[in-house]
Amino acid sequence: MSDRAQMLADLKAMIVRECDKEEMDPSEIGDDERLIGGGLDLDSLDALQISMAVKENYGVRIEGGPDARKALASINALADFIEAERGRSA
Amino acid sequence: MTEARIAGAYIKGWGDYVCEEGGELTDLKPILKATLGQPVRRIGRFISLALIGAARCLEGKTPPPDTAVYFTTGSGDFEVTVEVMEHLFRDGFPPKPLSFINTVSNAACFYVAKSFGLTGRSTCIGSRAFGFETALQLALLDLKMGTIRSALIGSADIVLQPVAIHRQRLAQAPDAPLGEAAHWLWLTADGEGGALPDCRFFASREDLMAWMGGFDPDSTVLGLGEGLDDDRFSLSRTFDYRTGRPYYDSRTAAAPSAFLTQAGSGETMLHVSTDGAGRYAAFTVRR
Repeated sequence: MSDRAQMLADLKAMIVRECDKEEMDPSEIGDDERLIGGGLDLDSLDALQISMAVKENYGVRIEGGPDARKALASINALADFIEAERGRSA
Repeated sequence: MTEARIAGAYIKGWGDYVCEEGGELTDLKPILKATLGQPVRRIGRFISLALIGAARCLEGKTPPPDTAVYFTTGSGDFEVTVEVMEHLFRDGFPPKPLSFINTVSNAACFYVAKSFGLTGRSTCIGSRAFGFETALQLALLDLKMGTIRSALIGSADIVLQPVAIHRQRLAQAPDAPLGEAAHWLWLTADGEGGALPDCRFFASREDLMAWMGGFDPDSTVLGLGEGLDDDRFSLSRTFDYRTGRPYYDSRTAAAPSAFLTQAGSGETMLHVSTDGAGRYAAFTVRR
């Protein structure tokens, strides 16, 4: 598994765990599926929970507003955001 | 002549969950899903217990939407409180939102109200020695004053691992069995048969004994709260609901449903508790 594929799998597992969606298999989340307000039934409280888990697990802070909407658009968008922020601070 | 009708507190239903916990804690998620018919997200053991007990009390019936919820607990939601405190002080992170919101005392009431479509008042009441009696008295006052017509009165307490530490926390002996439990009663202002007519507090034993003098010892059994094992007061027959039951702080809340399950029609239980400082609480249950 490539680093990118591993990261996507880890993010899906993190979302399932942090948002208490344990009846769901992480692999059921599509890479480009809308995270908040879509078919996953996640809301703004889940968004905050995910943001804090990203900070703890990846050391990347997701600010509110447009940044959060962009970062939490999908698993791919979240991975892109984390990689970009890590690249910026490296 | 117009007959004045004073609302009562009739028993519409009751339900419990009790489980002794000594090692690996029972997985409540499948029990909750089987009881409610669907999983509930973002809740821990404490709220799960409250929901399981309430669902068992309602037995699939739909209470009126304006039903009020009165809830009490001996120790509260230790699980989420410890989780938030450890995350904050041990790990140095801000509390996670899904844990933080459930630290509010009324979280269990919210989930009960939400799950059963209730929009009436919901109140979490804490009182170290008389939590159940305090919740019960408030519900009885609201029912009898006509403020509400239907009430759910419940309690819940969880066990936290390691169990040996939790046992110390509850000031129990090293071999004392501990349990997780939830007890709920559904009371209505109108009805017939079983009822909870009274709940009172007494500043002294003398005041309690004076009130107890009005009960017929032939048709009344005595239920005794924690620390009153050998006291018979003025009644000779006792109803023991604590022997064989694991310890949890809100164990008094088990008395009504235990009595209702075992008693014959027309029997009354008078339950007495003490705070160990000379004050007493008493309530009556009529089958």
